[in-house]
Amino acid sequence: MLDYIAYRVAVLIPTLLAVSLAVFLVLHLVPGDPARNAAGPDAAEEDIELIREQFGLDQPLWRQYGIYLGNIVRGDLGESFRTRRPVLDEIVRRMPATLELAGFAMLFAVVVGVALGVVASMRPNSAIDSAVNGLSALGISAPVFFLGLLLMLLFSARLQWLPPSGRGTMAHLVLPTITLGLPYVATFARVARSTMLDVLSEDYIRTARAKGLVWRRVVWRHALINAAVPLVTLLGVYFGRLLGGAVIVETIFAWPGLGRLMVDGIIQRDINLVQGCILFFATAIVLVNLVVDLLYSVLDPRIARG
Amino acid sequence: MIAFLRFLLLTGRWFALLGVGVIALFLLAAVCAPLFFSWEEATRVNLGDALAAPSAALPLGADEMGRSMVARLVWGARVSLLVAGLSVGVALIAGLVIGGLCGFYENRLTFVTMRAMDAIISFPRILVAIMLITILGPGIVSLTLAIAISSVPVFARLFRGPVLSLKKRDYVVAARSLGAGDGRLLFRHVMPNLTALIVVQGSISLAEAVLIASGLSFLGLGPQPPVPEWGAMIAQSRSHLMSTPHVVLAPGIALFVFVLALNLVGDGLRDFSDPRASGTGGR
Repeated sequence: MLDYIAYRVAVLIPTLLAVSLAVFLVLHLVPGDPARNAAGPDAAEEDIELIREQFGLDQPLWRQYGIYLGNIVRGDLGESFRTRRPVLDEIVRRMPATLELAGFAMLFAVVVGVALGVVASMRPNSAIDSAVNGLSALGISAPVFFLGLLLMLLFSARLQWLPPSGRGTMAHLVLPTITLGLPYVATFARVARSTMLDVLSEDYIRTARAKGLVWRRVVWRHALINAAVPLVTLLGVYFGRLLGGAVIVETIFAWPGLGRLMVDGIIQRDINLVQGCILFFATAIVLVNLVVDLLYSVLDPRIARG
Repeated sequence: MIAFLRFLLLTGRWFALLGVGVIALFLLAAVCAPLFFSWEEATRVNLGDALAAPSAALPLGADEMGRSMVARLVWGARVSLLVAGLSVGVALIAGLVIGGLCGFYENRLTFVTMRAMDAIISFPRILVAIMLITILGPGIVSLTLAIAISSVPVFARLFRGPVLSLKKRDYVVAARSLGAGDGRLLFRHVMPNLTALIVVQGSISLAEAVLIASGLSFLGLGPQPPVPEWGAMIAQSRSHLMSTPHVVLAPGIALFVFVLALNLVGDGLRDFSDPRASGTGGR
């Protein structure tokens, strides 16, 4: 088990290196001169030259990457082309908002989704099952930004129960969390239902039932733990997608997170900023996947031995 | 197609049938858009009609620039279908080639290729697409390309698996012993078995592509004004959501219904190609 953890942590470093190289290469193939873009349309030639020198854009690409990598190790992600502030400061300032949103949305999706899926699996083909099935089809097809605006229209404008945008109190968190989490409620419900149906047909479930255990207890204690393994793997995959979705949700609700920062960076061609944001998202996804894999091997010890 | 419709009818899959009808309607709107409304009607600013309520002349009212909502919705269907259709088509072909080759030949190169595909898949598609649009600049062409490229790894991984097992089948080995070359084996004996998978995955991917395209357009990374794209229409009109909700509701409902129809038909196709995998079968 310890060997497995050590191995997984050791693989982390080359993975992150590869990610940083890929992000760097892709973004530096940008057509057009980043220095000219950053300086603005009517900047003097000397100013552009100054920016180019200042940000090291006159160096060959491999040296730029070397310098960039060296700086990352020292916790320096470069300066934003626009605001001239350190990118890391901007990211650290915005990060809590995004993590808060993604975390609550994940919690919402897992708790509600798994509960719906288990209830549906207890009575396959019943009215509850069909309702969960239908709802999950709707949830998968709903465009996040439209859903968000509908919720805003209903709960903020018409009923005036919740604030329409911004961050601060728990009330501010409700609509963005539901908007971001709802499609994943549908996915978790679907997966929970189908894995539970598989587990419930196993022999040990019949045994547990035959020895007289209460059916509800069999489902929630015996079956759910065994159905949890595939669900945990999904956590890793969907955390990444949730971060992607956060980009859109943050725009709808004026949520001051990283996603909005990144989109603004793209529109303004602020490469250092975009690079920092993507690197942050990538690192977060890699780390969450690591935690999920370790959790997975705790739930199913055969993985670590394999 | 007729066999599929008959299957839906005989097994009572009314939602999937409804989906087929909705898609046909949207397809008609997209293909015949110029017959119903001129490009002018969908894009010319006419502030006199700004935010007009629905009337006989403007069945769904007008947006904040006074442009007919119906005309913009119909042209928007064309944009969405074009972006989603082209990107899924390109990605399918590229995914088939990469997945097919990587399944057929097992060597160091294909191993590295598949690991690279796995690495890309572990990132959310919308982030991959956003990164590509950063390079290509916002616009309809780069939107299509970004969605296509970000879905290639999904298809490559999906198609590689079956190729790995199909190439060991007796009839493929028999064809090889009869002297068939690699190309003939791959394209004549292995690939045709992927048809069902291609059709099912294609329709589901189309739904996903429409969603991602509209999401990126909503962020301002898709077609630029005045091109009518549903996601972009919602973004541009959203400040009028509270006063005149129809300017946001109309494109939103169009988008939602279209994606739902694609998903319903995708589910129907899955059941059609493999009735045992039926989602509603239960136990």
